[in-house]
Amino acid sequence: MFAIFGEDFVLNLEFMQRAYLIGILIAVMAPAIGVIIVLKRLSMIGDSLSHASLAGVAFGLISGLNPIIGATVFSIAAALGIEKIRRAFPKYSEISIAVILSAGIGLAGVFSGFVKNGFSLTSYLFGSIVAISDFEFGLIVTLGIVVILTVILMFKELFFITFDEEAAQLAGVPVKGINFIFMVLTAVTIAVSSRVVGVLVISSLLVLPSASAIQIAKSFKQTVVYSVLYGMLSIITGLTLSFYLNLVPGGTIVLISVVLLVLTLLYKNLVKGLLFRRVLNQEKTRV
Amino acid sequence: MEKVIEVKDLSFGYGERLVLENLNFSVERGDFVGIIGPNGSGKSTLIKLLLNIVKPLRGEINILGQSIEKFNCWSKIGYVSQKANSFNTAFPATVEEVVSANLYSKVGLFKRINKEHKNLVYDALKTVGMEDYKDKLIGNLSGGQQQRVFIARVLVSKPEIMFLDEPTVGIDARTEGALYCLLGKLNSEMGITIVMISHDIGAMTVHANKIACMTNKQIIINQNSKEFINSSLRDVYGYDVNLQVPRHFCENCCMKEGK
Ligand SMILES: Nc1ncnc2c1ncn2[C@@H]1O[C@H](COP(=O)(O)OP(=O)(O)OP(=O)(O)O)[C@@H](O)[C@H]1O
Ligand SMILES: [Mg+2]
Repeated sequence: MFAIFGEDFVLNLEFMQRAYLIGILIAVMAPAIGVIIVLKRLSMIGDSLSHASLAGVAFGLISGLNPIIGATVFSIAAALGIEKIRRAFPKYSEISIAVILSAGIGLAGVFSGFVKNGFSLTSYLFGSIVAISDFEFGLIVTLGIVVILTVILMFKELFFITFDEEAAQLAGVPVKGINFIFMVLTAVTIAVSSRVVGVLVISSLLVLPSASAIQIAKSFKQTVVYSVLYGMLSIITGLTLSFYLNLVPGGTIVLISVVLLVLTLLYKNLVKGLLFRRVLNQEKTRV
Repeated sequence: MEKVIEVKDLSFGYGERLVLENLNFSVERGDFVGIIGPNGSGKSTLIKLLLNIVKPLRGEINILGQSIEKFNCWSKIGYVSQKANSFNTAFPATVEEVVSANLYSKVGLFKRINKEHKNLVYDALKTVGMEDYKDKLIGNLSGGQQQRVFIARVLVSKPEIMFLDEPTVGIDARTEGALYCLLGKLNSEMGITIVMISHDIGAMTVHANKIACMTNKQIIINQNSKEFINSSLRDVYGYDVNLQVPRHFCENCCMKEGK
């Protein structure tokens, strides 16, 4: 593949091919889930689940369980915990998120004291693209595809519930079931992303592409499509830059997302300004 | 006349305190019932009971001839809630997407909207006069326009009964008049039974054919809204209510004239 570019061209290296493939999967999963999280005003949920994932990673490193499996189990448990606690405080969904966030940080902190190789835990904080094993690669790809297919299948119901849960319930949408599945999908997305993007970064990747997309989209469908495109652009550029400049991938990806958001806001204001000026000119000529 | 809603000995309370006590009433097909009453008298609660959102403490509710626990034809029932106009206005969804949502149970889980469904959405928007706005973001419409979109969302599933909880809050008098006329038209031309809560007693006496007053955990249905006069309002509200039947309401309207 890409023979003309020589052996050390980025796409000819097997570990980079894997990183790109996983990156693209994450670029579809995270923003698609993220749009719904942002619109449900649950942006903090990403932080909460990612810290639980970190506790899972640490647990995996101590016990010899694969860290991604550890992260997935802890993340799903945390997501279900949030739903449980939320029922105790129906009007304050932030409380349940904060409680689980604290528990996640606490556990991760305590577990980290037992992890022998400090480097391996830090690589899960900001992500890493080197040496993804066959097993991990297969696991991430399988889970990623399952998440993406489920979101596509439930897409319109997710939209209805996000827009108006009460009306969805009355119209016969199985709201409870779909909310449950969605929480599990969110948990899996965050756990799976922790390897390449890092747990400190993944929650930004849920929120930033959606934030940019909401600025310019003219429908819900467009919002989802645009946020996936923003996610792709950030992740692919981020992985490439981190390979050539030897940067930490997670950090690079998030910085690019922030830059894209700022550019989008500038663009929007510019367009608004131009439109406004044109309207003013028209008014003048009319007078 | 066929009774589409039948309530027998219905009681309900949040916790210990009863909000509704031993209600008995029925609504017939084609009725336009206006529910009035002071704040906290249980109007919204009654509608939530009729929608099975909350369950009765005692008593029986029949919807379209079926006991509410067994009733499973909720697509025949439409609901425009009190907070429909306080949704997240920054939500990036088009008018068409919002209205389509109520077709999802008809479309089926895992399936997509097709041309036929889009036509149904267009027809519903046309009924409320919003078809030109179908590609606009819902958040960019005015309050009155949004309210009409929410009515279209209910209409798209071709309901037999429509419940509306204060749909005219925050809407100017002229738009409000148009909304009442629209509801009158849905009622008289399409035969949809309408049960609507409003504090606008004057408009209710014009457009509704029955007025239901809620007070002291009870409901009193006046079979003829025209006979409904100030003296009975004092019993309901406990003070003199200055009843004005606004004449300007129907200036653009094909329907009844305010009298
Ligand atoms: N979720 C709830 N929990 C506890 N009490 C409630 C709840 N909702 C309503 N109530 C109480 O039940 C009573 C009836 O409330 P409801 O909302 O039905 O009144 P309403 O007639 O619709 O008033 P409004 O005109 O202000 O809309 C009120 O006294 C209220 O305090
Ligand atoms: Mg109310």
